[in-house]
Amino acid sequence: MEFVGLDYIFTPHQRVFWIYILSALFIAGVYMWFFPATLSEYKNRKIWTHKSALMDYKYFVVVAFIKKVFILSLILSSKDVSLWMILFLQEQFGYTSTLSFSREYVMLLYTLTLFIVGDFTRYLLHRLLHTVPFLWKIHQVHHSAEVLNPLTFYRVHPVENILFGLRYALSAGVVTGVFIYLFGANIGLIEIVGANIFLFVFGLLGSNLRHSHVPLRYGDFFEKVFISPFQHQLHHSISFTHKNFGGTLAIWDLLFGTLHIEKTQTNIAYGTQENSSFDTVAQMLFKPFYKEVKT
Amino acid sequence: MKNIYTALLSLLFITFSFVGCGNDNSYDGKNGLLSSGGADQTNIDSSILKIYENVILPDANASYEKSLALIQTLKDFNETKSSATLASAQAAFKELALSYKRVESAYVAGRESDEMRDLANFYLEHFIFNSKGDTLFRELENIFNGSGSLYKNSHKGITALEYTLFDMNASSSEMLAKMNTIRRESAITMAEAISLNLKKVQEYYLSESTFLDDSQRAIGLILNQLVDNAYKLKEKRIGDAAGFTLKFKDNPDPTRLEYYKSMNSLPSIKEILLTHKRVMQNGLSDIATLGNASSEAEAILSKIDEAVNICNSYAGPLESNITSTKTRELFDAVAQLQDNYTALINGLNFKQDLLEADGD
Repeated sequence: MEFVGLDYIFTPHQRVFWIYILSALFIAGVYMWFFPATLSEYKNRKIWTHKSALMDYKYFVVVAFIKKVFILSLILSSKDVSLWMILFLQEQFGYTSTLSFSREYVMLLYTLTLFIVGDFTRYLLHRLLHTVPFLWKIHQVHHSAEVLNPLTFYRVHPVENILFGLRYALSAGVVTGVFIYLFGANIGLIEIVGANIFLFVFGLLGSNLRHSHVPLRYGDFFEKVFISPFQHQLHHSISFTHKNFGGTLAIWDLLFGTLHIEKTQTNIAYGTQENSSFDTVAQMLFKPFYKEVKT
Repeated sequence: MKNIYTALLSLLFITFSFVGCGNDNSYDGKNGLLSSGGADQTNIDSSILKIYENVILPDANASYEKSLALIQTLKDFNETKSSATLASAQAAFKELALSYKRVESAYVAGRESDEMRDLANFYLEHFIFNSKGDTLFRELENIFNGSGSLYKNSHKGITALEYTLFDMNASSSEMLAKMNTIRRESAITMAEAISLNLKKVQEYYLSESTFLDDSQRAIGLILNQLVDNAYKLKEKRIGDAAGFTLKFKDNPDPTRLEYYKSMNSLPSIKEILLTHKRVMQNGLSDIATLGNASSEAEAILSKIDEAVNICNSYAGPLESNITSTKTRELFDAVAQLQDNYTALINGLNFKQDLLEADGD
């Protein structure tokens, strides 16, 4: 089961964990009750059976296997990075007796720092994927989706998986290393059902709607702080592909001038200006390299 | 511009080539104990209970008992004033000192309570915090010759009592001659103060400690204590005297050893290491196994054994072998032990998030 990604449904730190899917369905249901046009879009565009969606399903299974068998064993562990970081800090600044803050306070600070640094490095890497030509070819696999569904989240080229894994190892490793250097074993994550509390709340508030046709907005003010599902849908649109790179927080986009806020609209045209399309899973895996060689 | 991208990509691939894929470096997706309350909680609780019941509490009880025995031998000596009873008192002191090393090594009370931390640092012993300075010994000499009084806490701790009862440069008859009435009575006062404080430690563990209330917190407390204790063992109890630390670089001086006067420094170092081993064997290794950090625990135990073997290989007391090459080996072994504890803390904290390998 775990080799084809079905275990994701029962894994709290996966985007498609059953609780997050249920909460997204609930939010979508309420939204559609008030805005039936969304439901019509699902019917008219045949979102769930669209050829792009069918590719998402097939690709999800193949890439889950590739990740489990080939990628996860290659990715640098955050454990190694954090140990290196602690020993580096001890060598540079000497051993320090651990600071005596309460464990609860340290846990809150650590969980929050991991979340913020993680979100910022996601923004940076995501932006890099859009601005470095070769990486953009890789990332177009994700952006080639013509309709969106929760599994579009996993429509990511394995090279991108490696980059995101490396990003996580470096960011979480450095943050953890600094915290262990300062607070020793007095650290820990605040979790709900085994997931970072911030990621859990994010999941519960409809993170799966980011890859959906439910244009849920948070309002002009909050969309400068948090990326709404609609803002991410705009990011997948042909018109605003290179805007709204943020994962959870919109402040990075606001700070670096890539934020885009728009009034709600339906029937957005998704995809890329390059009109990149992939007919098979094999094309999604190999075409980015093939095209790179040809150009 | 194209060159920049080529360089960036090259850098990326070079990075991957160093990523490695061995077991120690692999992404196993398993949770760490310090980060997760979900791992086998019952086994963690029982491991913490074992550390408390087999190490912390019995050591606190034993050191209090040793202090009572010491008081009795000092009273006997005060009555008989014989070299035999002085030798008994000195032997009882050494036993107490070693027993206290066991308490001190796993002293989680000082991490739970500021009051208990101060009790250890400012009442019981003054080696680490006051650097065993000459000031204390000058004040004690003034007290013994009648021109001072025993009023400071530092006058009534283990460090002061060692000074009172021992002088490695004096023969037993010379030492007996130095033990005037004030000195003998001061020794009793010191031992009684030490005993009173050890009783507070015992009572704290019996009735106030929250060590058993929250296992996740307890893991943090004991690990922080062990890594800190290993650091002090390396720096203060070995490095400063051997001239390996920045402060005393290439300037070895055995008088900086913790129990220089009683020549009890090497046994006390060994006792600290053996206490670490007991903590590991009475629960911490099991916790490490539960947290997928058994290799880190094995590395710690192996390093403790190595350091103990070095202690056992000294031909004589450390006080007269401080410049031996064995001291450097011991220092390095304890330095590595400290790093291994850090690796264990890191290993137990390891929390990998599969979501994070996906894009957005």
